[in-house]
Amino acid sequence: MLTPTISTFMASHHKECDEQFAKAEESVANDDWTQGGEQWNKFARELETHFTREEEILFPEFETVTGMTGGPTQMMRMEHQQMRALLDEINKAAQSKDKDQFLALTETLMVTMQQHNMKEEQILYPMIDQSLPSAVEIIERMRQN
Amino acid sequence: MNTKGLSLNTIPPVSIPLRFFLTAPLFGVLAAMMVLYFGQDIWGSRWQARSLALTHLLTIGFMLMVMIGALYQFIPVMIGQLIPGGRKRVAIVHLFLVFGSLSLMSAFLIQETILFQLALISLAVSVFLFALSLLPLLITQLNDHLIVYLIRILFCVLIVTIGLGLFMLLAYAYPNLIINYREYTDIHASWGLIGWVVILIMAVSSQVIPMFFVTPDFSVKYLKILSLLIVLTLAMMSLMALTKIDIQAILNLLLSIELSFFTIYTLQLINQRKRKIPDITVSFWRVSLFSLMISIVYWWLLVLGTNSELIPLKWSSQSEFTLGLLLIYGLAISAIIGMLQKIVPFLLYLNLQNLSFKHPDSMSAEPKLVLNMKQIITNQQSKVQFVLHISSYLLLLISIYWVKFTWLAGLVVLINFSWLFITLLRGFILFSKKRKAILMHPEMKMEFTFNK
Repeated sequence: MLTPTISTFMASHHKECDEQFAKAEESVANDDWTQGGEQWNKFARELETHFTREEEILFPEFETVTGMTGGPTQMMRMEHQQMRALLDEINKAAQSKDKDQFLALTETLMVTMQQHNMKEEQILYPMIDQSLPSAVEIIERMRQN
Repeated sequence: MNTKGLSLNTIPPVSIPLRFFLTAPLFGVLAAMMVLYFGQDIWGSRWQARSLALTHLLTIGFMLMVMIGALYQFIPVMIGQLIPGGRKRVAIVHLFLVFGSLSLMSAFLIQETILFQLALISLAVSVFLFALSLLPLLITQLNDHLIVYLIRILFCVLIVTIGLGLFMLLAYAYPNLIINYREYTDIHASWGLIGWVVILIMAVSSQVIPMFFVTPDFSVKYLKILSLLIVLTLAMMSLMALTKIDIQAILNLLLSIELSFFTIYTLQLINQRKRKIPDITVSFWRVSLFSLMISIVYWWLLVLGTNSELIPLKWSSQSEFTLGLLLIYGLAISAIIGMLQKIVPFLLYLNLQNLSFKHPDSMSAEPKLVLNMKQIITNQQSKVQFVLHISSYLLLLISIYWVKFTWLAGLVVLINFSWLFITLLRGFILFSKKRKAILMHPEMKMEFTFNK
């Protein structure tokens, strides 16, 4: 079996989040708030897990090894904050069952998420793979998070 | 990978890409006005100056314009660095492109040598400066991602297309040089219509379709091989045309297999999308890909029809216009208008969002100062755009054969591009108002230390 890399592990989690997101969005578009609400909460938890893995495990490791504490990881943290702000707004729309508002905001979140993922997958993760020798151990810690 | 100075802070100021997006529809409006002015005479022969003017309004004024703007917006996201050159260079690239497109159009219509000279110089300056900005990134970037590969191929295709274009323009601009350019026109057209348009669509769809619609990823191997094959086939076709060796039939077959494979593959990925909510941009993509498919079938009917009595279709001015419309208006412009419905709202949203983080008090304001994407261009506006686009497209096709529809076609094309301009402008005005309101709140200093 190929040794897992940070890139493949994190990118496949991005995919999982995307798929969960698509399910929730579809249910809400079909006015199924019961299922949509559950799927949405599941997605939001998944996304938060992803952010925490990066902010508490992956980025600090990278920052310690490379000394790059400003730059890329700081930018990614800021984008996480932006997405959290959107999540809050979407949660409000979900509570008031405002479908148009929900879908307008999920569209916005979707595109934000995608360009964020692109930067991570194309640039940051490959950098992390190059600079962190102990990928397997870090992946294991993230999995348990 | 070159990580020096890398911050992933990759959003260019709004004004950089937006100036291209806002000017482009105006060239569409001009193209429509030409159709209205010339009426059915527009469909004379593709060699007529007015057809050349119309074609270049759409390809340079609209397509190239949006493409450059989109590259300014997306290259940074893909490779983590802004396109170098700063605001001044962008302003020159943009102004010369606008001026060059206008002079080229008037040159074709008025046939004044001086206008051809102006067009030659302005377009050369604009394209050369842009290429100069992009080239170092394409050469030094060791990142081997699909998109970087496709942009490199696209870059080569554009060098051939625009290079030949400028060469022919030289012949118009300086008639005493006596350059024999006629034999290059078809080569220029096929590199432009098939090379540039198809590979551009390939590059954009490989990134955007999986992202926006949550489809399976494109196979990197397929697209790398396919794009290379298309370019090689085109190169062989051009060599053949120049040396008069006849293996046309084989190359035609090869090229149509490559193009059909791409179309069917992409349509099938779209069908597998997990994000199934109604989204008008899916329809724009479908129209675009079906247009490519239809143009391949139509092209074969022409090739076969010319050699047999069984198929009534033969090469004629009408059939050339039909192919041109299928590729330019159908394949390229449909995808571009569809994508603008997403990338412009996103650009404006992202800038408001970032600004509000720098002015945190603004975040608690009600109503919200950060607009979401659908407030910038609404679903309803995008739907109207789609209806206008599809009707103008069909009317144009019809008017080639029933010329009395030309006027109506021109009118709907005019409304289509005006609507595009108005929705983009309205989005920008909304953005500017909110931006002003956010700036009223005190700024919080954020300091990033960059390790260089």
